[in-house]
Amino acid sequence: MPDAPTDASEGSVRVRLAHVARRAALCDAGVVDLAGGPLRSTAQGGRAVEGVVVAAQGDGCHELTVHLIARPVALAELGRRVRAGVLAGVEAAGLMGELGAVHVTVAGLLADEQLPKPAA
Amino acid sequence: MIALLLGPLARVSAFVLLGLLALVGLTVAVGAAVGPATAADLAQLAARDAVDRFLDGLAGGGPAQQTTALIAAGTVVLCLAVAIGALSRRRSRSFLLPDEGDATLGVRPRALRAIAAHLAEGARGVTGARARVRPRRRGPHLRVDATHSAGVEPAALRDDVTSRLASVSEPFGLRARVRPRAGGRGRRAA
Repeated sequence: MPDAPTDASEGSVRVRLAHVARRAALCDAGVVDLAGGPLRSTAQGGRAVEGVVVAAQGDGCHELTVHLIARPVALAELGRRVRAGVLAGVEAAGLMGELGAVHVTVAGLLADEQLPKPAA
Repeated sequence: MIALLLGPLARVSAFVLLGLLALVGLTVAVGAAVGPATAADLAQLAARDAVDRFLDGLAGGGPAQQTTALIAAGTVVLCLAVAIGALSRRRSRSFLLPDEGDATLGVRPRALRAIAAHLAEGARGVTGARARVRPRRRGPHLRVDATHSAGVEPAALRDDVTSRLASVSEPFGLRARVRPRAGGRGRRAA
């Protein structure tokens, strides 16, 4: 499934939140990528934001879960850092009123030597 | 362990049942196409002889009766296992950081094993490490088998690896146990 549009101002609140969270998480040096798959993405109209699940919390806000593939770093600190980054990104996007709990899950680990080498 | 097996069993059974449902649907479709009477005649012809033989064997006692009883008992046990697997609540397998309020910071067991092995492999003299994490009633356990080269003091290696694991074990409340192993078996460091 292709990624959602890169413009975070497009789509529903869920997709916009997911997009902001994805971008914020990938900014952290300890994050290699986000874990994809149908159960770990937020979809709308046949397009999906991989690695972030945004679900209605029932009180008008949205619960957000980020699924990381991390480098071998201190995972507790990484999780807290990513969450802080997501919160800052959501605030900058003016979506703070829509956001509920933010969960971070480290789904996998990838050491530097396991990363694909860039093409010469 | 049994609970872990029942979930996948229920999912496989659901898949098989869906296949059977599709087969029934196909049969109904064929029946609708060739006419119900013709379809029933065809099915009757195909099954009559086999069913007759089976019923004769059953009525006469002997091996057929025992086999049928075994199959019936097995089916009952399988159905019970599938029902338990389908109805049992799936536990989150992530290891969570405590005291995070409404939010959660969790690590999947696979990632936790990988980081523990990576940390252990950084200790002096370690040639390979394998980690296991297990949720237990008395608190989750982290066990690391660290293979080391000759001339390394196991006690010192155990202390070194344990201290390196602290960045993972302490935040997640894991009880770390390190087992040094001299050479031989174990995954070699790259």
